[in-house]
Amino acid sequence: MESATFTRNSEINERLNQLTQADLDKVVETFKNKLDHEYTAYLNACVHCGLCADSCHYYLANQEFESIPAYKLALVTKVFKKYFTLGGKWLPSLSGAKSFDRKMAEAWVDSLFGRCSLCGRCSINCTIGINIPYLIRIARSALQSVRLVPPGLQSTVDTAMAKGNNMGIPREGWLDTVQWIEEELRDELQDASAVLPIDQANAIHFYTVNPREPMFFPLSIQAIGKIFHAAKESWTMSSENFDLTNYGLYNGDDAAAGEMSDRLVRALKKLGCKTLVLGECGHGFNSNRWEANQWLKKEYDFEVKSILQLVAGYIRDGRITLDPAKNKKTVTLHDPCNLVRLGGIMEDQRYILRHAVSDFVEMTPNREKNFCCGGGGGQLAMTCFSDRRVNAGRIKAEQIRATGARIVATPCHNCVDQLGELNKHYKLGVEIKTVCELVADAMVP
Amino acid sequence: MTKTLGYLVVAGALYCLTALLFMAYRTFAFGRRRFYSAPQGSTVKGVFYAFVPGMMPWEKESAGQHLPTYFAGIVYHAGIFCSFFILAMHVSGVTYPDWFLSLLRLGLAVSAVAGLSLLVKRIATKNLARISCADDYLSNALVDVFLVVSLFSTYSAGFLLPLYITALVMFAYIPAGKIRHCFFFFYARFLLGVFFGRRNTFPPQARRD
Repeated sequence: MESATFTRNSEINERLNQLTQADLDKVVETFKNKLDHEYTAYLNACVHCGLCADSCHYYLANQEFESIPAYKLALVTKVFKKYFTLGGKWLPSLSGAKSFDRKMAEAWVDSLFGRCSLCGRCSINCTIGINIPYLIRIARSALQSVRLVPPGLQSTVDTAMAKGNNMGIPREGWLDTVQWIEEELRDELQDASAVLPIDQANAIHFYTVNPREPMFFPLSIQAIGKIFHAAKESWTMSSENFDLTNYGLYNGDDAAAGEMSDRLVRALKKLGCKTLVLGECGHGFNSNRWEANQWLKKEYDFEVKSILQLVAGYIRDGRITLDPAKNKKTVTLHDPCNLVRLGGIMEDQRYILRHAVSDFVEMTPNREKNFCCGGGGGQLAMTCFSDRRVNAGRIKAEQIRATGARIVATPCHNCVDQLGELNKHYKLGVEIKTVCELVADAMVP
Repeated sequence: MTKTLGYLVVAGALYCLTALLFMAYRTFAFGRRRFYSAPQGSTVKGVFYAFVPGMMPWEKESAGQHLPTYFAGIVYHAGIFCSFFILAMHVSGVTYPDWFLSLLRLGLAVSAVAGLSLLVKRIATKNLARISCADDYLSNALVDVFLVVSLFSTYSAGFLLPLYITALVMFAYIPAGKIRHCFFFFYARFLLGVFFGRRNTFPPQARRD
């Protein structure tokens, strides 16, 4: 096993040093409990061809051996083989099987948290077809069982669990912000009937946001209000449960992740809404559209949609009218991994942009082949790995520069944050906007 | 002697198959997952894409960027099937037309070269060597020997004994080493197709611009 280079966070190092044999056993036990036939098949399948290396933005950016997806996966398969295969138990040196000890724990934290954004690009490029990010996630779950999670990521989950949203915005603060944005919306539209409804019973759509919107990007909520108002949509937000983010996806805590998603379900049910509408947030979409049912082990009797699906429908149905000439600058689109590759929403955002801007250019590669911006996988919350995150974002920065675009649109607020940082670091000189902000800018009264 | 070894080869093949089935049983013993989320796309189309278009070098970036390795891998695996054909031919005593035998020989020869080149690549490429374990080298070398001996056995009956012994060793090793991916490859690829098919990622929804 390669020696880990993770030495940056004293809190994690202290936790590593405190690990007892009982903790190490608990990691293996939790890992075992997460295994099912799919994961087990994948764990038996890697042939170490190494062709995945060039698909990973971490490896492309830093060329470090520890960033190769096959290496990251091997850290997990070594432990799997040691405890759960006959060959690994009897002849570990043949297959490279290793016990889960403190050194392995350190390597897991360093590589599985610090060198992976769970973007899934390696999976579609894997010779075999191994779902690598999902294997890395169950390994993260095992680490989480003994609180071996980088503190920034864990505290984001803890805050969401304790306060109802990941930024700890109090109910009054949320309501004040919505009221203030509503007033701005009325001023902009010169229409006193424009509202941002809260707790409206029996509205059709239950709309949810990333807490970064009320905190830092109120224009995003204003843009949505403008679109819904023009489309004469029946919608509402919740005074309590408005946070669509779910960092349980990233720290691997299924119980917390399930509870966060279930809060939205309970709020939707309480208000009698028909559709859970997820705002522009990639991992929020993946969590609530695909993963939440698995965490909660239940089917939903309501639809879960991305706001992009609704807005594209409004354009198709003529419920809103756009003038692309209002957005004259060249626009390119960044595909959030959790929404596109892992979420399956690929064309709606393109349909929208073709109607909302006059000059739309694609990045290369795009859609399910896109490169991660580097902000996924909880990386934005793990400050101990910030340097690596920004360095890994170089691949996305080069993609953006090659388009010559002046605006980068992306339907994800975490991506907005990362792209904003890349914009400054790599001096791209672009504006970063969400898709709905561009739609709002292009609307014809 | 050769006939007895032939029976042993059949027994070895049956052992190998049984061991792989046992591995499949153990895999499923970890529990099946039920999908609770509503599908957005077709699993059938997803699986088809995963096995056919999604393996093509113009669709799969890792294949397109590593064409020599990609084609070496295809030829290598095709040759392995040829060598099993040859083995079955010897054991069963069935003979084939000369043109077919020539085709198998060509396949075996090219495949052996491809297999050896992949072994050399594994040894010579720094990062590849670092992610490799003993099993990776042993599996490749064993299959390479099997290919070469299969090829020689089509020219001289003197190579039947080495072929049968190699086959026995290989059948014993398959379930223990990474050659078991001969089973897990198909299942993993199927699962990937189901995963991305349900999510409407496979097949891609539109042509790239």
